[in-house]
Amino acid sequence: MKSRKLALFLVALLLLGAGTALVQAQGDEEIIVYRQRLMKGHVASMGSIGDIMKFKLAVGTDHVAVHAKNISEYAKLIPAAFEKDISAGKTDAKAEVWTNWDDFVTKANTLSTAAATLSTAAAGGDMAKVMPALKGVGDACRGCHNDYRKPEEERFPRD
Amino acid sequence: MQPAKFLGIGLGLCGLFLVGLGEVSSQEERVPTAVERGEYALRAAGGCTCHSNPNMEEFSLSGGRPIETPFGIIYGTNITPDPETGIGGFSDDDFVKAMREGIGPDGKVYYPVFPYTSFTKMTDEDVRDMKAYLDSLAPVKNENKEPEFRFPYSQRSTISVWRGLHFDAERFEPSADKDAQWNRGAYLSEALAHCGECHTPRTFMGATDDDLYYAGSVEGPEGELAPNITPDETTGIGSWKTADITWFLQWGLKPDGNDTQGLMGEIIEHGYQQLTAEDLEAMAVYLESLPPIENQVRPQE
Repeated sequence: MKSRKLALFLVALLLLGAGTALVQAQGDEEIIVYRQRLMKGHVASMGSIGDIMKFKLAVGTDHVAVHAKNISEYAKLIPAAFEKDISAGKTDAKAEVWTNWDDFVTKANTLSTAAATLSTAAAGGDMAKVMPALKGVGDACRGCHNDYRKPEEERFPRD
Repeated sequence: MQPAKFLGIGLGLCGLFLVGLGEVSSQEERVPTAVERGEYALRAAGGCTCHSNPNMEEFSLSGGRPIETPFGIIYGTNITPDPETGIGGFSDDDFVKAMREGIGPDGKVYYPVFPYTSFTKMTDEDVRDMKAYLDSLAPVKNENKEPEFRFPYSQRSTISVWRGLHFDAERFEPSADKDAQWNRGAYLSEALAHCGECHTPRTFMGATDDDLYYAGSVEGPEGELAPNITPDETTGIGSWKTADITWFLQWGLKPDGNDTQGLMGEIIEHGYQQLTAEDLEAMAVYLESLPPIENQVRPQE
């Protein structure tokens, strides 16, 4: 009788554990989606800056300044968005994000600062300052991605 | 088109590059030195980062970088002018032979991981200028490491077989029916930037599959995905405008705003980023002129 109760208790524990894991996994998926949206926000602003500069759109450096400010603000959200260690599932984040957390945060801060510099340069309208500042932002994106985003051949195909 | 005229365009563009740097006022007509021209050629070749030293904080072309290939690992060599461990003992002719024919001063045949299959197309002047630039660098002592290739590729005699089938030492020949800009772009892409070495898929023998010229490879250099850069609308860069291509080559930023990382990011940063706007446009024009090839290159599921 006792062993049967014990068995039932253990099964209940197992189911509870599995259920908790399921709930956790559902939460993780949402976090991954949010992280990706946040990154897409950066990309949309970067693409806009590119369009303005490449095609000499009339909206000019005033708009570049706003898009760069957006990137700077979004970059401040990166540490919190990535705080939870989720490298399993449909994510392009490498496990190193969490094993090298301090460096990851430093790189997010570098991006935020570089984008703020670009914003200021663009607001001033001085192209001689805008171009090196733009390089600074591109380098910051790449510098972080090289260490913490999976290379293209390992990423999940996206639409 | 006469090679001399072609060279003149190259020199003129170098001058523009220096104007861009702010080092030469537009009033002066200073001709770039061989060292300056050589540095520019090196940048056009992607910065030669295969020869970088992973054990040094500061960027150095003193070699040692492991390069993964399907045949094993090969280590980039020391191309600083150290007389014992680098290329300080190379004469100009030795350097030309290495770049053009893939053969060292001691008769050693180089593995074509070193893309002499492209560099063979360089002009004499660009090759010699590149040596002048390399000779101007600080010599760094760093012994070269032998490749770690599986048998039979570990035997350099296998390279001769490969060369017999796949290597023709040839100069770039400008096309008479194309304009100066196209020819400049073709020269930069084929001879210096060597785009095809990475962006053309390889056969099992490691030769480029020219039916899929520039059409990308999911297992490109060091296993990295190299996209289809033919003007195919759906699988290549056909939807990119000329300004999208030049912007990408300068900043590593794609039309959607995403950045490129890994090897391409590196060679943009150390190489193409420092080319003139005119040269980047010439490369874009050349890419746009290639036959579009439908070849979907996507990450593995």
